[in-house]
Amino acid sequence: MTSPFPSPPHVEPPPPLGLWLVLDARVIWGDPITLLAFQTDAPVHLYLQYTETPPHAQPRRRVVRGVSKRTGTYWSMDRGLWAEQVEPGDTTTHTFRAFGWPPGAPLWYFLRGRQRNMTTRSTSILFGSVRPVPNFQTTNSQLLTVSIGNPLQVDASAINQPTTSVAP
Amino acid sequence: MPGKDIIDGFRGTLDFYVSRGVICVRAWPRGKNAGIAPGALLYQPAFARVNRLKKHVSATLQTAYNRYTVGGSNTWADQCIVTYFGNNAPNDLPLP
Repeated sequence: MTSPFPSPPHVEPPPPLGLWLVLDARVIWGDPITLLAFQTDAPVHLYLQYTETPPHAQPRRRVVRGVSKRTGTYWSMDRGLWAEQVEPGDTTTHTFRAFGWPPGAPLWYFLRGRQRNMTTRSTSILFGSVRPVPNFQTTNSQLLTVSIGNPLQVDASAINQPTTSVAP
Repeated sequence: MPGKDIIDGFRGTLDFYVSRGVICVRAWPRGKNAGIAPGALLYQPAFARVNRLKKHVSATLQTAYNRYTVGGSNTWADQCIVTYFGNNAPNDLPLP
């Protein structure tokens, strides 16, 4: 399969075993097959876990000198189904095929990998994509933002709790 | 307590105090340079690599990382490091 990405950049030092980073991602809409393509810096065999159930958000907190501070959000996903990349072996371009994705339906997914048949430490963040309706006409760049852009920000407002003090 | 002249005659900074009625003196504590921890040394190349990789992350992914870190002080670049070291999995379902 032809890679939609240029060659990965040459960066020193060489990649450590078990660590990789997603550098680019694209969704190539098609009917009936949609392709999800990712590029990583190091050769790895990726698996994509996907679900239609929206993720859950929990605030991440850290206690600094007795005061609980919000440091971010932890997004947890219900257990979904695994899909294996199309390319055999460890590669830097990873393609997944999605069949029967109805227009307007969201899909939540993230990546885990194996390198030399060992499970890697690195994962990806949680992505969310909504398949556009049939007459959705945009330029290519706008399409990417819609597809890969994370709709998680909609749910985040609900958990935006005020910072509380835990000091006695 | 000894006089100021005597104290000034000692080399370096001294710390005088009274403990249970006994006058004590000690050298002013200095921070010990413990060096770099073995764990930190082990991951230095990986940190160097991920910091250099960040400039190759596409604009699309930067947007996704930014939305992912909503509600906190982390930037998309911080999130790159967190996911690179695998501390961010949405669940623990084992690979097939």
